[in-house]
Amino acid sequence: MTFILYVVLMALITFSCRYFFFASVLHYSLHSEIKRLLKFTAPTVLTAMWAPIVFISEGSLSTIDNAYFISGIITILAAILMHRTLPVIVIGLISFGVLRFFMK
Amino acid sequence: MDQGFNRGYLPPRSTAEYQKQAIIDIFPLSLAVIPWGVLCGSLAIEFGLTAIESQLMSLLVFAGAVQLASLGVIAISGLVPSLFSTTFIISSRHLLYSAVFREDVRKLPTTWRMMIAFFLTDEMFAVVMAFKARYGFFSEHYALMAGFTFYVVWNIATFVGIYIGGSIPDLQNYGFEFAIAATFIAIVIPQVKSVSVLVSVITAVIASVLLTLFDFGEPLIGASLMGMFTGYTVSKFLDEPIT
Repeated sequence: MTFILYVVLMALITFSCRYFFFASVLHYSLHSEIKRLLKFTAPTVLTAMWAPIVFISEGSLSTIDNAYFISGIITILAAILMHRTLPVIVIGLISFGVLRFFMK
Repeated sequence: MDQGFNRGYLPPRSTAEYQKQAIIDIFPLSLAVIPWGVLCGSLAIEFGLTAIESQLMSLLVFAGAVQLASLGVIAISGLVPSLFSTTFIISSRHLLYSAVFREDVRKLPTTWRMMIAFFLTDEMFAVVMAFKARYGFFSEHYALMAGFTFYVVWNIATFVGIYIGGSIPDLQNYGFEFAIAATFIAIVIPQVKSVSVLVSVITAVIASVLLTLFDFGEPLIGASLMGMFTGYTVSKFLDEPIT
């Protein structure tokens, strides 16, 4: 039963972080320089999530024959060329599947 | 005026179309997260939580990294304060997402703001930012449906994990993380439209890899902040317009 209380408190923490800047108590509009900074949130946070998956394997830098690394590069190239989300994901996943199948 | 946006995309025309688009866009990320949901459920059972407690974690907390870390904290130290500080540190990136959506969400009624906040995850943030980059505006119907779809999948996956308990196969070996990487790459690269964003992304790559390799602090938060401030500095130096 106490654990359920912990879960509720954890939920309050996660919700507060998500709701914080939506609260109407904060009336002011964000300063334009803050907006300039926040523009970089999406590209950097998402990159900080995908880069270690592609470039690190088992605690050290991925080697050139690593499926994550090769498919990661293929996905990046596909994204640069196509700029369309779904086909790029499909190309990335297929290349990863094929590499994993043949590199075992 | 719309130079920045990809031509050839027409925005959805009705609420139902926004919702359909949201489900399609969040689909790859929902699939990729299934193993983690299963893992969360089955580990919770393995750590001695009841089925109800395990499911409540996904129903209420709804944050994979927090849920997995909290099980670890309970198992290793059993210290309640560190449970909450860990929760806050891992969740703190959502403060940034909340700030980014602020101008779009602020004008909505409280119920809408609370619902969007509740469903605000990395994945929802990612697809909504991709939507904004594509069409140039924010849609609350799109955001809510993307978040809700992800929530349903996450909870079903947790339920499956609870059901099969500790007897799960080694999911980490199947390479599901690659689906997350591929999706985020596909979302980030089209957003690189200026020198400053390019610099911020390259900084985030180098910083996240180095911080992870040397196991230094919180690589995700550290690398994100470094990328953001580098991008900001370059943007300021080049006097780029704020959009």
